[in-house]
Amino acid sequence: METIDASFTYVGTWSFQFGGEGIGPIERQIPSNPQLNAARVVMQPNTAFLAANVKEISAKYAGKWILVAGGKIVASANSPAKLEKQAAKSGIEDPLIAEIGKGPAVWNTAYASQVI
Amino acid sequence: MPLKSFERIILFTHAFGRSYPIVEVTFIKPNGQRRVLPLLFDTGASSIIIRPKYHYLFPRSTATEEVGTVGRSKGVNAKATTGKVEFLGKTIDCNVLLMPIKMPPLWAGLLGREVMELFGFGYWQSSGELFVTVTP
Repeated sequence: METIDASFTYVGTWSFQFGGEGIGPIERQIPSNPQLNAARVVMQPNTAFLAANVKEISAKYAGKWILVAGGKIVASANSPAKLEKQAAKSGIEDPLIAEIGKGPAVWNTAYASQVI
Repeated sequence: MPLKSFERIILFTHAFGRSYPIVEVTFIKPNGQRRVLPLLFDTGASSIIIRPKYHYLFPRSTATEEVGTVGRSKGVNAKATTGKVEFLGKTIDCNVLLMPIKMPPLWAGLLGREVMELFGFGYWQSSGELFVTVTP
């Protein structure tokens, strides 16, 4: 994971553009917190991309696996094996290969039951 | 009042109108290939728990373990394996349970306490920040 010095993002909106499959920019609020000056924000662009577009991705790739790298979808397939090969062949470092389930995901805990 | 200092911040991931403490963890396959899985930061889990469909990332194992889960009176059978994981620059050999639990596609499993022991965390739900030190 890449890290950046957060001192220049002390207040306001942090925006960055991902170019994957027509999906737009992601905006995240960085709270005004003095500790950000001394600390470093861990960047997780692939997870941020998935989160910002999870509804569209779930609709488009239901039942498939997707290969995410550099904040965009590089490929999709019915099994992870194909994507594993593609990632190796393309020399993609630290790819995220995710299964996109069919139907709504249900997350149950002792505290909440949420269908999303 | 005790003071703790942290040198990293992981911002919560926003989805479905909520914020989730999701951390990207790199799993190093037996052949050396590295694969990233997003995991939900979960102090209720004793070790890493991964959905069984990601079994191909780990050494094959026939060992099973009964795991207690919230909301169920009986335990759930999980496949017990091991994995080499990298998180914030530290590489750890740890236990991994492959367990059938329903999760949204945003995370492939849960980051449990076994990995957390090597770090210190400060958890702010209201501001959506997980502060981390690698030298607790």
